[in-house]
Amino acid sequence: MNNSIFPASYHDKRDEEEAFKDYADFRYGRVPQDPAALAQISELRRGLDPILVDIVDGGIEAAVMEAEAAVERTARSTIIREQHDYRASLNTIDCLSVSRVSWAATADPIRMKYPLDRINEGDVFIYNDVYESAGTIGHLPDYCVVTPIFWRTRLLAFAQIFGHVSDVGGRQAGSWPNTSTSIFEEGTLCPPVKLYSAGTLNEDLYDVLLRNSRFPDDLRGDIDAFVGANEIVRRRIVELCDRFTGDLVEAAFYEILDRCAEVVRDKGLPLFPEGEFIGEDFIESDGLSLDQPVKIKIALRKYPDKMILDFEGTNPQTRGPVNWPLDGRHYSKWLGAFFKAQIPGIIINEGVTQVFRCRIPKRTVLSSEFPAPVVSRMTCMLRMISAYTVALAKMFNGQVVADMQNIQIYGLYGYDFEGNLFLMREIFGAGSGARPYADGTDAVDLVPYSKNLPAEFVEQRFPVTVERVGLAIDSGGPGKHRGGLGYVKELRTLVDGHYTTVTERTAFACVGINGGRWGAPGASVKNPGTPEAENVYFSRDAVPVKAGDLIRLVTPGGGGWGDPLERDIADVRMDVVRRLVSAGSAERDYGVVIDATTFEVNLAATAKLRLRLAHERGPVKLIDRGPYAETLIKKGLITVADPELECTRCADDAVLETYWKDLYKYTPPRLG
Amino acid sequence: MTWRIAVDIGGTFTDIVALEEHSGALHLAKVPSTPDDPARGFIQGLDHVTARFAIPESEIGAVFHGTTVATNAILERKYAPMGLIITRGYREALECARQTVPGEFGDITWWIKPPRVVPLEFVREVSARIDVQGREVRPVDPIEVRALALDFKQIGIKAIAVSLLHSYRDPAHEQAIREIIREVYPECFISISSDILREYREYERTNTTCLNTALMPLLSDYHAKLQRHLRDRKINAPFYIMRSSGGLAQAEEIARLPIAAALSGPAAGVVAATHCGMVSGFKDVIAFDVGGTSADICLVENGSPRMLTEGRVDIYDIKTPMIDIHTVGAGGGSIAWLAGGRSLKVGPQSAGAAPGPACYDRGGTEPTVTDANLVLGRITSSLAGGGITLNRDKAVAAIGTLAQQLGLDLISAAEGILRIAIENMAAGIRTVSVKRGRDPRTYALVAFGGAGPLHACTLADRLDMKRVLIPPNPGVTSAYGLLLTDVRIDQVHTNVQREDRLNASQIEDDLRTLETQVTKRLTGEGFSHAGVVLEHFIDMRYAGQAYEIRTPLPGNQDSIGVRLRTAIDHFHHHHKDLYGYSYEGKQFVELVNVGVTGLGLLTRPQVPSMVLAGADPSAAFCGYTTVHFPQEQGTVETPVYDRGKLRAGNEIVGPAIINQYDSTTVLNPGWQGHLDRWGTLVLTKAQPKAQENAHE
Repeated sequence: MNNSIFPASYHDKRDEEEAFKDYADFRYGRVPQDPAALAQISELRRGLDPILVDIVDGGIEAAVMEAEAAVERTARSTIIREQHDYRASLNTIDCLSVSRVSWAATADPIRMKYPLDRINEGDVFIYNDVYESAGTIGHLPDYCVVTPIFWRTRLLAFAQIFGHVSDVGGRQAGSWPNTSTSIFEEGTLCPPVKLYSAGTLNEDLYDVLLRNSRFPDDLRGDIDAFVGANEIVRRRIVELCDRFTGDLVEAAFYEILDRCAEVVRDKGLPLFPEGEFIGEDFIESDGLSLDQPVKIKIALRKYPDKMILDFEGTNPQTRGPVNWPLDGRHYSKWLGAFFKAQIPGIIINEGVTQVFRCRIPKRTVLSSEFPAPVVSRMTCMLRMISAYTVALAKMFNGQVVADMQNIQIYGLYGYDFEGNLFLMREIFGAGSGARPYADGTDAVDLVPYSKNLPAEFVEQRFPVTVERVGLAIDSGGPGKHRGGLGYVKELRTLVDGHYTTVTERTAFACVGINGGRWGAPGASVKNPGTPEAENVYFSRDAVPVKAGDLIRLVTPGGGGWGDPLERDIADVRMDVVRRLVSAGSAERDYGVVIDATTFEVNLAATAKLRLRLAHERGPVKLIDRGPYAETLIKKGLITVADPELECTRCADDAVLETYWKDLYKYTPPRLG
Repeated sequence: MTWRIAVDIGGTFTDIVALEEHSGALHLAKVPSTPDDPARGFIQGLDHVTARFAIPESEIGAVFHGTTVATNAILERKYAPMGLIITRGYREALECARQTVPGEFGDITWWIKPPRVVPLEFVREVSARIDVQGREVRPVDPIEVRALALDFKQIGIKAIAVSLLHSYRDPAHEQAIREIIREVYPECFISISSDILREYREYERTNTTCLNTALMPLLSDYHAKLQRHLRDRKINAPFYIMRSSGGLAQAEEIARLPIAAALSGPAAGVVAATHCGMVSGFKDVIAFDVGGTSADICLVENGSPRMLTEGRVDIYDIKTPMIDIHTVGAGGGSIAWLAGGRSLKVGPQSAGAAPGPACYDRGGTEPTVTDANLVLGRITSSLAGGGITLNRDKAVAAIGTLAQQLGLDLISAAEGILRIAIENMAAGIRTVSVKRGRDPRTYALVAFGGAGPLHACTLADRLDMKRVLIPPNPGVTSAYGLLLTDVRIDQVHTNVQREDRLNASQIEDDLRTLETQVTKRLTGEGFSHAGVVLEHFIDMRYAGQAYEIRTPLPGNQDSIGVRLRTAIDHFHHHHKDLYGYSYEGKQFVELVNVGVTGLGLLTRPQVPSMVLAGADPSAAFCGYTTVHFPQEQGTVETPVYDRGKLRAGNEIVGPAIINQYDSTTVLNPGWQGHLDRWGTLVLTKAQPKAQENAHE
């Protein structure tokens, strides 16, 4: 355990009260609280039956799950239905999320715009406007619907749900231009407004929203599903109030919030050693300057009863759309969800922000300002986890799960045989990071219950054939425990069209930990194995394809964990038998000499080779980022905080040529 | 005399029911299960009943069997090494599955993917390919297939699954491959996906086919053993096994199609609950079966249990018709614990039968629902007719520890455990009712299983349900249910069509083909044409949705066009009913699958009606016990009755406890009950105003 070693520069921030002062404004959200009401609530909480609190807690979770299940069955966008990019939650009247973390969305924008006397029973609010969302919605395709919950005429809470719809207009089908320079290119902005007013649908508003989508039927189905889901939550909460009274149920909300904070403080935080630990990771590009990575840097500071993530050193907001304009309150909830692994059964809600907080300097890529483009803000979400992984690796001396990148999006669009515009978009999983106790998992998505598209569904619906569905051999980062393998899908398009990629880790690699090696990056290839074969790296808009072209989509392998020369020989052999690892990689990376056809291992040669490789390599490093990152570091194009902990063996100028050749063939640099 | 014998094998006990077809005479027995060799338990149970009740083997007219052999094999991953033949390019399809991580956000970090049914080294690709329209792209290459089959034979593979892309369109390639394998390796078990599940979605179809194939050697052995035992005893009666769909299958059929029985465990209980409701005059019931580890809940409407087209065993999605049973991890053995040291949770972990609840005094120290019931006085000192003696001190100690952490007294903590357990059960009931647009208050709760009757009144109070039915022998309800159903075959065929471009005659042809297949199978099993009933259905969705709703295709006399129109109207209605909205007139409907259900009708046993005695139950009265009822109902000296001595017509006013061999019924204050003429205990919430009669 690290023994409270803080760097010298940090001394002036050591006072806890001082450090937490900056955050006072989000302790209870953006909405000012009513002190009299809160005093009354704390009075009620004093005599509160703990079993009642548990029943309310379980009732809220059941309501949210019921609502989400209804959305899955009835929404129409594949990205919601199959890939589960949606979340429901319950907010208090002052917009604290009582249910498990809804990633970001809350009711704050409603309260900030509408005084309480203009929020009525039967109202349903809708918005997607990122910059009017009080930092709760990250990009325009996420429509958020909020329904106030009244009990006997008193406003008590809000049901809230958001989901990623197919299309909200803008300059590209699917509303996901990788090269936008303003949010206005990304679709239609809907500020917080009433879709229903006291139970009456505002048809005119609905017409405007639907008219601005390329797929209005999908959008209507999705929004109707959201409204229906909120109604389910509303009914369940009213039922709870009918049983226990609104006052006690509301008191239970605050008890549940504080309970989460106390449990994280008492059971979660003691597992973290004190001190400051720095991690960083890099977004491959902002979509415009493809050779310029964007850095996310975090300093993780642990006090006895609090933890702070300071994002000082993170790059400024970008010209391209990788910005994520949220605030520390939401980043705390996003990363705080990972505490669950340590405390089984606990529900992480807004309460976590009382003891786990983020500090974000202004105008960074994590705090961009209007009208900066944002549609690919997902890259920030994912790289933030990677930076956190690197910091945790230092904090726990390598005893952490290795890095991963489990959301890659590919879209193919064009006109089908009947002349209708189609958009086939799929979110792909990838290899998960190896663990200190096990290999990573192959081809899985970060979002629970997310599903890929069956080939038999795709071929029914779109003018393509699916020629391969499988795993990318040798993509898992070698290690004592191997990273999970990336996904491979080969599509043959039957019509002319274009494809877009929203991809990360096409050049950078998933980071290996504690001697584990980097996982292979994953990109797409047009017509692989032919003389016209062409690799497509980074996130790209509109790569042209002709009828008959084969597109191979590959996703990255997870980082490895631990020294690959210590991997069990039988496991290496089985990987070769199963064609997850090639005989060449077995020899090169694991030092196992194996015959590629008989699968016989030469034990004597293996022992000798392992010795030699260990000698040539020297001691293993904590962090292994792979050739692209190492080359950029070597050339001084990017920097890391603790270079002595990082592997440098793969730096090679030739790597940059591979990735940077024809960089702007399909995406000419745009002038601001 | 003609006897029907039903044998239901559970985790702890094997239940046997013997029923005489004409007189309705009924005998029950329980013998210990033999998990190491379930066939032994089966035959011991059968011998036990025939000997004890002097039933000559020659008078056994039919044998019925409910088994979890297939389910357990899946849960324990005990299958024979098997091979998979799949379309080129899809070798890793099982590994990729649907790229799904179960659980919560963040769980990807620790979740480990369980091994696949077929490991990669036993997956082989073939070049044959058809396209989405069913047209051949590349033909079957016999040389390639023969080489694969011989290779599998050489490495000792005993079973082979064949699953090719779009085989739901045209099974010819899969059938050709099966023929080639049979030529060179006749003793191998083979199943092809178009036989097992003729529906689109390649992963689900392939995985279901693989599970089926993997179970074939085991189920085939099991079946052969049982047949041998029956033959040894000169029992030549028809032998049926329960399917997940709540229908029966000839035992040979399950040896060929074991996956059809993978979720049959709780199905027979639902059949019995449905029957119990119908006999006592309640067509709309919720079946509530509570055992040691879980509560199995099912909505029954108008005498039919709700059905599903897919389910899940362990992590495997299995597409096969099944009764829609919702399982909640809340049974007698469910453990109470504090998440994060603060919030009280009950289940889903269970103390099971070993070590069991703390009060079993078999080494269990964690507080369970049964311990809470004991502390509250809701169960008395023994269970299973004295088979298990309960140690109240152990229960007090276990719950006392929890009470301290919660800052509550013993009784409040025990009550808290029960309240949370009831909440979980209520959530389960809501899942099958409210969530599907049904109001549970209009349903009768049929409570059975060892612990169902114990919680029924409290649960009904919680949900404001007015009526509870307790079947005559709640603990052997599942075995009894085996005697109450028909032989059932479901055959489905994917043929996607949009409503504006329907090829109705093609659908009619499909239906006719399916009808012929189903009828042939049922008549092959000895049913006369008059004894076969056929029903048509269609799976539909709005174009763009990914999930279908199964809708009956009524009106055999009408033209197919009219019938389809009616079914589409039903679909809109059903969609609105299930999800709260429909797109009638706004969006096109897609017809995805057509199907036929065939029932081979069996005669139903008679349930004898008893003569009504008077209302006075005092002959069954055994004394008083102290019971802590929920909250304001308080602590009450409560009369205890022996159900075995209750007579039809006897009336009991709550609070009361009714003990019987295999269960305990708790009648809360405010409830009253009577034993109806079919032996069912009908409990009614006392109405403040005029009292309704429970039946007739």
